[in-house]
Amino acid sequence: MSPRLRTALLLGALVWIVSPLRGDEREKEYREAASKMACQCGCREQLTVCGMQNCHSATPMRAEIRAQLAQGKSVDEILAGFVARMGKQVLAAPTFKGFDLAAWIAPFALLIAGLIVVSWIAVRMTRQPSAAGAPAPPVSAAVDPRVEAELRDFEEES
Amino acid sequence: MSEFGNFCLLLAFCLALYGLFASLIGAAARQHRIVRSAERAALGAGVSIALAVGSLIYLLLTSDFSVAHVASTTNRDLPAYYKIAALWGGHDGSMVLWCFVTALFSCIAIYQNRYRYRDMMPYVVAVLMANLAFFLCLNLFFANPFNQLVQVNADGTMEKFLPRDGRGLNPSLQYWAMVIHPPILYHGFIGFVVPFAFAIAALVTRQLGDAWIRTIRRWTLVPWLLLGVGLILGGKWAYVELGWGGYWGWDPVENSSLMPWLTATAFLHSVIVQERKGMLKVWNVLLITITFLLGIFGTFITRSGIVGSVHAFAESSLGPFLVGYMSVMLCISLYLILDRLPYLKSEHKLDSVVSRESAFLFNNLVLLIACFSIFWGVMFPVFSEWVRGTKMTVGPPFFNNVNIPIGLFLLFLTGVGPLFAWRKTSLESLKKAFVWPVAFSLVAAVALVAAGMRSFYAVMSFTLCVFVVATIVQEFYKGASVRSRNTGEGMGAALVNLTLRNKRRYGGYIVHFGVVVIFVGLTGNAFNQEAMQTLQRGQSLELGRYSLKLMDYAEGDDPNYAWARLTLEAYQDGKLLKVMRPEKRAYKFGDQQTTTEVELHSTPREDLYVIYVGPANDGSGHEVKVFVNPLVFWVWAGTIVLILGTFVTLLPDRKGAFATQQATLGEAPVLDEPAQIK
Repeated sequence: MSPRLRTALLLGALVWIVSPLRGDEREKEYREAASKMACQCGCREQLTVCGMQNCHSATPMRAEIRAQLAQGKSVDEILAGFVARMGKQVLAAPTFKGFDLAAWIAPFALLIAGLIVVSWIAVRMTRQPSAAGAPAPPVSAAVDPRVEAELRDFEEES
Repeated sequence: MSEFGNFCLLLAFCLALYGLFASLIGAAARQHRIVRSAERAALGAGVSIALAVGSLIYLLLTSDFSVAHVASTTNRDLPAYYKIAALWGGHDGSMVLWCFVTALFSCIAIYQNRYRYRDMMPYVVAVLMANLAFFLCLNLFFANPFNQLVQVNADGTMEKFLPRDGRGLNPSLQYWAMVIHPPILYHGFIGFVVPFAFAIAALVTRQLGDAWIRTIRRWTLVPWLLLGVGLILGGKWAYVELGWGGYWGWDPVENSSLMPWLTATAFLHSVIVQERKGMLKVWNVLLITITFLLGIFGTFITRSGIVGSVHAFAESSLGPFLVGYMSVMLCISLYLILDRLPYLKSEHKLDSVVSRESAFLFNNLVLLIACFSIFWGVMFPVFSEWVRGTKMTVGPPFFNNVNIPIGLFLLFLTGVGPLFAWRKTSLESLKKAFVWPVAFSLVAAVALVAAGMRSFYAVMSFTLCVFVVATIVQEFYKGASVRSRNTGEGMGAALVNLTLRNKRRYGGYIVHFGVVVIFVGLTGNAFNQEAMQTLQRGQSLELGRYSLKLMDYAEGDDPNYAWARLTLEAYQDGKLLKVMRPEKRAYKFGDQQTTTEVELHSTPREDLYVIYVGPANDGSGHEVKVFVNPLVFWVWAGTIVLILGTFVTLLPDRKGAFATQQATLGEAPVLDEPAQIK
């Protein structure tokens, strides 16, 4: 057996053994791509979720994902192709680049900043004197004359 | 009848305006008779709106299709209960319901406090009536449900138009939960207007002690509970009626209901610190303002069309008015808070950072961040379009990735909070308090991993659930055993009496337990399985432990819709479990929408959820989609526990205890005789 034939047979056997796994792998990739994309029929669901039969948006998009996976394209390539054609709204979530990154960072940045600020406030609150010892808050303009009048009456009576 | 309804709405609007101005004039002139007149006008407005609602229901029940709202939301063959539900099945009618609930809450609050808080009440009435007048104005002039249908003739003249039948109620809304879900949700959204009105009144009158806080506790708890129940009912509806296999899709409208619930939860916690320690006064006023405004924001999202949603009403012209209203209310609130800052100082200092007070602070922070992350996700497409002109979608992958860690952190704090003592917690007592909950949760984590669970978030969630339950059990056990020792009661009786004597604390723990149970249900999402297959008679679909065999297909006709139904035998581990009949309906009216009627077999372990998608395009059989959703049962069960816990906290205090509390507070005495009021 020639080395070439041996290599070809070995490769063939390998493909034969791995091919069932490839089906699973492809289904996994399909689910990954479809779950990262939003149906455009108005339901706003992920492609994996939209339950409308023969949905004018989800059905062709799903078929296209399967076709492109069969052509050997990666999930990222498929997503990029859809975005180029239909815009970013085809993605179910913001990307991790540019302005979109703000969507992901803001909640966690705020959480960290909040934890720092609340810790600082808590420490500060342990040090500040309580209002019990502080001067009384100012009296409103409406009450002020009444208080003065009553004080005057009190002084006159005493 | 439509003219009468319209007149009632107009009368209510005039009375609300009178109530607003009369209460302000009465307060300024210190004329209680004018204030009393304003209060009566408010009650009159309530009665007037009730009559408007009654007349609209009458028009719906009698199928008066000359009225646009009736024609667009009902048809002759619609069952009577759905005809009533059609009141809120369209934009205009739902606005009447909004106004009715606003008036209902306003009237109850005014009547309940007719002899109390006489300095504050004019301003409470003013805020309530301003709010009512605003929504009645929108209802009357921009979304009037009594508008009649007209047709324009060729010569340009207009005449009344009476269609032979209506367009029917949106088929998705024809489900029992949908009959009660919107009113409950509205009560939740709108109910926060009462605590907000009291907050504004307290700011205006500078009575910023505990009185207003204690008054509004129940007024906050009830809308909080109703909003929570409304959210879960909405989830139940989505699960059973929308047929996509889930109950929470992070839709903008769903999110806008969750946001005020989160801030109200924060308020319910932080208010305890103000009551016990006289701290966090600014924070509490801010929180109730935010909660109220988020309720308005919810209706803005639903009615403005600013973001797309399956739950939203068609784009209306109300958006700018709602934004204007929110802005005005925010500015007034912020001005008053800034102006009254000297009155909002803490009465005590924080004794230690390691204390229950601090735990509440952090719990508030995380709840607000959870709220912000949802708000950010809802509004980010709008910001993106403003900043970069790029349309984008922010869907479940974003919300799940951001909110799951925040939710778990919150769950952790739910367990940690009760372990800290008020004022100061020593290291020794911390060790003592933490040892059992930590031990149990570590055992749980090891057991889960050993059992093969590999999802990080699922392991974390279940571990934290065990941790929180352990803390709750420990708290009940500690309290009951002390009581049992001191009183000689058995543990069972001690547990019941302990809870009844400290309803707020132990009722709160029951609510926490309910939240844990809901988290268990939510965590089940990590293990969902689904399969879709085209089946012919006699063929089977396998998923997990289940096998579904197609036995029969039938078609039929109902006055309202045509239906197609599959009969499937469901086997579990080879044994016949149930005969399932998922259905597909094609409605005959309106947009002739098709809906899926899900067939469900629910157990505490998992739900078997079967959808008939429809006949295959190539005629090779029937498409069937099946989900196995673990632990969903616990989402609903947890909600019932949460409701029970809230009821415990809402139980009235014993009379003596209440009187003592009032006396301690030094509040104005409750006057029995109206004649005593000048």
